[in-house]
Amino acid sequence: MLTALSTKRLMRELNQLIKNPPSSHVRLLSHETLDKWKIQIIGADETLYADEKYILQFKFPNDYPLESPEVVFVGDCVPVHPHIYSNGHICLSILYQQWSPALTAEAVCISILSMLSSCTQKKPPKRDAIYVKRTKTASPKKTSWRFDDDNV
Amino acid sequence: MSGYNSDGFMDEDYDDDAFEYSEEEEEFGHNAIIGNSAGASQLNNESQTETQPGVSADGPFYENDLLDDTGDFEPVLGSIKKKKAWEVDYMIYDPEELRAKQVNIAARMEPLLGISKEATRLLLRHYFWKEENLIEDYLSDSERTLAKAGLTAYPPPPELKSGDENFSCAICYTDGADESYLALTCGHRFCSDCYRTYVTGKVLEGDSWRIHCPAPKCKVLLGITASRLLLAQDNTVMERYEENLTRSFVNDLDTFAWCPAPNCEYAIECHVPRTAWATTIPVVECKCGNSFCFGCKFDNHLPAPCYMVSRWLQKCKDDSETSNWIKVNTKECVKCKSTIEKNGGCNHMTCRDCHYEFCWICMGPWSEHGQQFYNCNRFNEDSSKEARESISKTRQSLERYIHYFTRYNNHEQSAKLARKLLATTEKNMEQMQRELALSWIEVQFLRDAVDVLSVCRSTLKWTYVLAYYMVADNQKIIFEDNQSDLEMATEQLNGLVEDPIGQDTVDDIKRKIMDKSTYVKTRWETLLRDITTGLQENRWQFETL
Repeated sequence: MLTALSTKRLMRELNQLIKNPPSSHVRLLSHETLDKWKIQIIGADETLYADEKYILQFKFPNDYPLESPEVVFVGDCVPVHPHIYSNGHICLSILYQQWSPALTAEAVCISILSMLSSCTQKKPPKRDAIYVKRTKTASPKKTSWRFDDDNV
Repeated sequence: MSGYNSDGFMDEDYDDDAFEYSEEEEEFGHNAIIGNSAGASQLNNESQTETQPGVSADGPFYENDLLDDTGDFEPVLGSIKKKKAWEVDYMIYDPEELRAKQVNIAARMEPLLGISKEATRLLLRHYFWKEENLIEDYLSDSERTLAKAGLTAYPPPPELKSGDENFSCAICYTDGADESYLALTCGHRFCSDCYRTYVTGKVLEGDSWRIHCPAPKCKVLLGITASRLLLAQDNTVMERYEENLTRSFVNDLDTFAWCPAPNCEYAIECHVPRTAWATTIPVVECKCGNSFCFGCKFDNHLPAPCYMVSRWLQKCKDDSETSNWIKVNTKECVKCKSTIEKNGGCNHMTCRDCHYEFCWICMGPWSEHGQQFYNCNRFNEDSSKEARESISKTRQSLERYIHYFTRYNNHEQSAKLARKLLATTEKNMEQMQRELALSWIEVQFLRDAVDVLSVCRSTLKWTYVLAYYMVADNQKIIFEDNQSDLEMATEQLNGLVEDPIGQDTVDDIKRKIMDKSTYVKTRWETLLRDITTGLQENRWQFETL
């Protein structure tokens, strides 16, 4: 059960996203339930991912926003990026240890977009196959991440 | 300063009963300077620097002795028994005293740093209470030191504000002038409800002073005052917060450790440096009665040093039960090396593979045994010796290990039995009291004897670990002589205690047991003293571990 705080907060975030989307590159696709959203992001112009469309799935825990949402790429195509595994898991500090309750789904989308934009070479993470085999469809929040690349 | 002595008795209470008072001191022992009481929270810096052990009228206990980092703090109670060679200095703190200790250190640092109390406390914690490092860094670049820790020298007292129409909480999106909010020096504002939930969550995860502003990537510390302000309504969380603070204090300091006994809430301060653990075993005894090693937190393992103990325990774990079983239950044929289990019959063995005939006891050829079929006393005959020497080397080393392990294990088991023995002893004591019309105090000698027994068992147990790693030389022979003296005496005492009412009269028994107890205790002290000085003098060679 979502708490009163998370319900209120998610309602507000949802309204905000529908009424004032942050940019044309972020678009809410669906929200079957309040705690499970799908957001489409479109690669920024003049980057390696320009015009490429990807779908992010957000699952919000009951004590959101104190706890971070679970965010993965879903759908047929997952961006090829050194920090994104082919099963959709994203290695991004703010999704795990560096999460702050003052961050929002929108802020996460912008962060991921900027992560894509600053990439200079489309290549999968090291040992992608091993990681994917091991984690399969488990939640990325169960992985213990190490963040060592501040550039991309 | 606090006017409490270590037992928590106030001086005044015992003024007119000085005799009993000093007896108390004798009772609880020499080096266990049990932490001072909460009185220390009202700290007085001036009196601290002036007091000297034994001269001040302030009472028997001085805070500056406690705070002295040198480690060899003077015993501060008047009639203290001389410290034994193997004993180390330590202090025991209850949670209240730990809290006072933190306050004391902070209060001492505050004037040195010249920043607010709050900033001092947090800075100290940020530096893991390493005062020297903190002062050094602070004096070279105060602003950077503070900023790195997420602090400001004089943070305004945190308060919940309200009445700003433009306020909107970034967590719950509630806005309006009615909403009360809190902002730290970074200016990030969040409503008090969200802040409270955030802090509560962190506290329940075990966090305390490391909680920072909830804004993304903001490193400004929330601080202790603000946390207390937010948690003021919730007592359980508040208590947990204070607990976490103390916990982090003990965990962050190398010189402090929690007593590992279940449910024990005392902490021990001990200044024996890590580098000395190879020759000094920092054994401490908590107020709860648990005696453990401050270095490795394992049970009291006098007289074996920590590194040896961990090696030994690892070895005991690694050497699988199977190999142990093979070693204990089988021998190798001297000639063809096939493994033989003796499952019955006499000592006359005939190897099934090579038909070599030998004696199971001495491993020598059977032909030399003549008619003494069931009794081998030829252990030291040359031919038997040769036969045994031919046993493969690995097996020998395993045998050596088993030799020490069996004895080690034997004492461990016996120590467990000692607990049982205590129950029987108590029964015996009751029986004696009833049957022989003795008073309770007159039969206490039995219990004392059992106490001596279990202490000696523990020590003996670890001497075998020491002996296992000790390289054989003349010094080792002396060591083993001492060891066997104690072992023999211990077994004799054990025998006496287990069956106290025999043919002799009670007086005889009592005298015997008391004599033996005293003797055993003397042997025990001799052994420990010898080992302690021996370790410090590097008298023995140990296998390179």
